[in-house]
Amino acid sequence: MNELRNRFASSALLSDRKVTQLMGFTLMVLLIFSYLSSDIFFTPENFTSMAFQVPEIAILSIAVMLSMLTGGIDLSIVATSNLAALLAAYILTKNMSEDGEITNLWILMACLAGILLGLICGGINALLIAVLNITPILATLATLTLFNGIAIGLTNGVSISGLPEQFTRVGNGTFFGVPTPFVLMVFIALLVGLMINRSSLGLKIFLIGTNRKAAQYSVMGDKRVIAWTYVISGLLSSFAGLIIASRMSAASPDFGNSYILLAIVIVVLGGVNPMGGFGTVTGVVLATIVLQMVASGFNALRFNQFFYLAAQGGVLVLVMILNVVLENRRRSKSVNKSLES
Amino acid sequence: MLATQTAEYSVKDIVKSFGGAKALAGVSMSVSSEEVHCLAGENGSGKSTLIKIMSGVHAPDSGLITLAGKEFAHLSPRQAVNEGVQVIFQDFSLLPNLTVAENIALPTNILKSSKIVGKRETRKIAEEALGYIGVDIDINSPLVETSIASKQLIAIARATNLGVKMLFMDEPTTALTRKEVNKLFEVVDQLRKRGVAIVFVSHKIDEIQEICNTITVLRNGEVVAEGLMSKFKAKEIATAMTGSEIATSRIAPPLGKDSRSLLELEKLTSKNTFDDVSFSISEGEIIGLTGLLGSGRTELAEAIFGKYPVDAGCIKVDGKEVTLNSPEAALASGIGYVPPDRLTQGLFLEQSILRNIVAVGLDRQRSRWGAISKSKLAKIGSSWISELRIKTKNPINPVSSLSGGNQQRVVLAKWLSINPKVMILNGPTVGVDVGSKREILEIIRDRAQAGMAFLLVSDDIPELVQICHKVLVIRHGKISKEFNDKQISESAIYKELN
Ligand SMILES: Nc1ncnc2c1ncn2[C@@H]1O[C@H](COP(=O)(O)OP(=O)(O)OP(=O)(O)O)[C@@H](O)[C@H]1O
Ligand SMILES: [Mg+2]
Repeated sequence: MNELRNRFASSALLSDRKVTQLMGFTLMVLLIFSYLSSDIFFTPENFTSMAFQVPEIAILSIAVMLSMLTGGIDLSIVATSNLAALLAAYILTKNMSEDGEITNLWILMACLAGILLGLICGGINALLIAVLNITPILATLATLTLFNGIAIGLTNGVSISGLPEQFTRVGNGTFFGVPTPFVLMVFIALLVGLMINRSSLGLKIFLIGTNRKAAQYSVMGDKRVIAWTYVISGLLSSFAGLIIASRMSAASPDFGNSYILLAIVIVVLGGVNPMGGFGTVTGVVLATIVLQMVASGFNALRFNQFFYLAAQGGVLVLVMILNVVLENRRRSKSVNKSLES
Repeated sequence: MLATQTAEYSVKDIVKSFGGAKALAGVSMSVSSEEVHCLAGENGSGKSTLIKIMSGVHAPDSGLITLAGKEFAHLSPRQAVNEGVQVIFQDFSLLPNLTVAENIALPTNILKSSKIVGKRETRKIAEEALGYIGVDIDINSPLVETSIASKQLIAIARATNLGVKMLFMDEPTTALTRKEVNKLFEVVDQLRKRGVAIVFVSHKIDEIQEICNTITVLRNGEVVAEGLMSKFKAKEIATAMTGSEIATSRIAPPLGKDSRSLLELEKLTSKNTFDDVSFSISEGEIIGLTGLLGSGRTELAEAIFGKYPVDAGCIKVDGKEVTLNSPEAALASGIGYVPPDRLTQGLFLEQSILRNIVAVGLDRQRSRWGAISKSKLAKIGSSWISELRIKTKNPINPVSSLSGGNQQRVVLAKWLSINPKVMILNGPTVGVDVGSKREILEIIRDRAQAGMAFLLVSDDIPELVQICHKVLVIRHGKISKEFNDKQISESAIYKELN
């Protein structure tokens, strides 16, 4: 009995074999590009620049992952993040002096306002999906358009730039040599990881994503759980928006439109089951890093942009085929192994 | 369409391990055409595994498969189909979104590699197949709208279409009522007369005796008994399966004189489904509820669980009137419910056994910061695994790796673990072997002795007779008969049902 318990605990640490697989893959990509372009790719500058770019897309991907774990999807993440960034940027620029001075209180207020807006956007998705039972893909497609429309309408499509230095310092600064956004991302990833693995909400998310009907018969408040995932998704999106605004010193209504598809791709690449029920935060973060390395590796090799896009797609196809093949073989094997021991 | 001369379908010395655990340890069995062969055995004894080997789904570690004179060391599913082997699996693999006709005709079309298939041809194939086995089902209705019994017959029709010479039926009757079983048996008998070799798996011994000519009994992956059906008495089959004698005596625990009533229904009514239903269950009491499919019994059970609307009447829990308009409300009042269909309603198949067991009442496991301690969950899980003797080597294996009967125990464990005041069990021993069934009944008895009140909805009359203090028969939504303690007998209940 004790033995059973221990095995369960230790397996939780290595929970997903996909993560190990992805780690190997990450290392491989790293080695290949370091070998091919040791002068540009394998430099501290390049790694720093990658560490500035990874966090925002990683946080957005984690948001998508949460909804996907329940068997849904959140397409409105980028629209939400832009809206939150715009509101914060608006408050910041309205309350700074001519020479860009602003009180810390106003910075705090601007960030809180952005976060609150993110929660509201997530709440609207939650209402549509959990209460009104609208299919997630349709509901969030609608709110994506709605949030986008509001952003463009209010700004006339013009971005707000020239944010105060005290605010942009965060997105461009470092913390013991590590880019601050990266530190924030690690922090957020840890929190979300803890939430999905160590809270009843998290376990319910996995179970609901596996079988919604059985979840209803198991009385776990499936609607409430699903509502929470979209609210948290909105919250995470607003964090990403604030980080982007801080790094770019600007907020724009049409920033990062391609990020939605990219985030979905990353989430699937990171081993999250698109039907729901399975996935890890580590996998998603690793997948973001792989894609970023491919992007910056191709940049370092001065490859044509189109070639890069094709290669990114190629990498994805390759990994997904690998996933399917390995998964099929592993499924039978892993059951056998556990029976053996 | 079918075989004409007699043929022999057999396996010899089949060994199959999943990792270290031997599911089959040298099994030999032989079935010939015009024979219905029973494959019996406890949960996890290897019945489904043997079927999967004979149909090419699993490759055996060693042993020989002979299909109508042709020998195979390794058999592919395609080869099996070519030799006329067809399986109706425990969870028959039909396509829910297609129509009945498409489900019957599709595999035939795929096998013939015809690319374009007309609607008319599809319908013709389906009609012929259904006509052949003599059943009448609307072929244009989508499969999701058909009953489980119809699905069973549709799966058979599909098999005949593919030129079946040997048909495996893995627990085909678990979800059927007696009337539907009769229909199924008619079809099986017809197929047999037309020269099909049939292997029939069921845990219901009376059914086995009725339809089968020969029998092989497995225990722990070995053949422990075989021969002509007529040579075996019911008791002997049960004993061979489990290795010990299975008691069938009544074990309803004595009721306290002044035990208070925990659940009371007063004139509970839901339009068109059940009408004016009143009864009460007191502490430690086990009440059986039976009736034909469509009698309103499942709806009544789900109404008490807050999952089916009630139009009139009231429900009292512990003497207080409660509004049960959601399962949350029911759970809060101390009512638990084990639903009838474990695959879609009861289990999270791909998730671990452990996660399945703790799925209800996760919130109660929260400690500080709302965190859940994995070791605590593991402890709860493994204690239920040993209490209900769930046969697994590792609780983090997915529930789908368990045999059918063990899956059912997981559903039970899930609800017993939160210790509700009133427990509604809807078909709790479906697909469970005779020995385990008795064990589950004993668990129910022990819980009742500790004060839990039970409503046991079941088709299994012997089971109701063994455990219930009172049996209610429901017919067209009304309680048509009530059997009290001394009046309870199998024959009396069967009589009331027909
Ligand atoms: N794919 C698999 N991986 C690992 N173990 C398996 C697998 N399939 C079956 N087993 C194990 O092999 C044993 C035999 O299982 P099988 O499904 O054949 O039992 P069964 O006789 O059909 O039981 P039931 O009456 O409950 O359906 C069980 O212990 C089961 O856990
Ligand atoms: Mg089986």
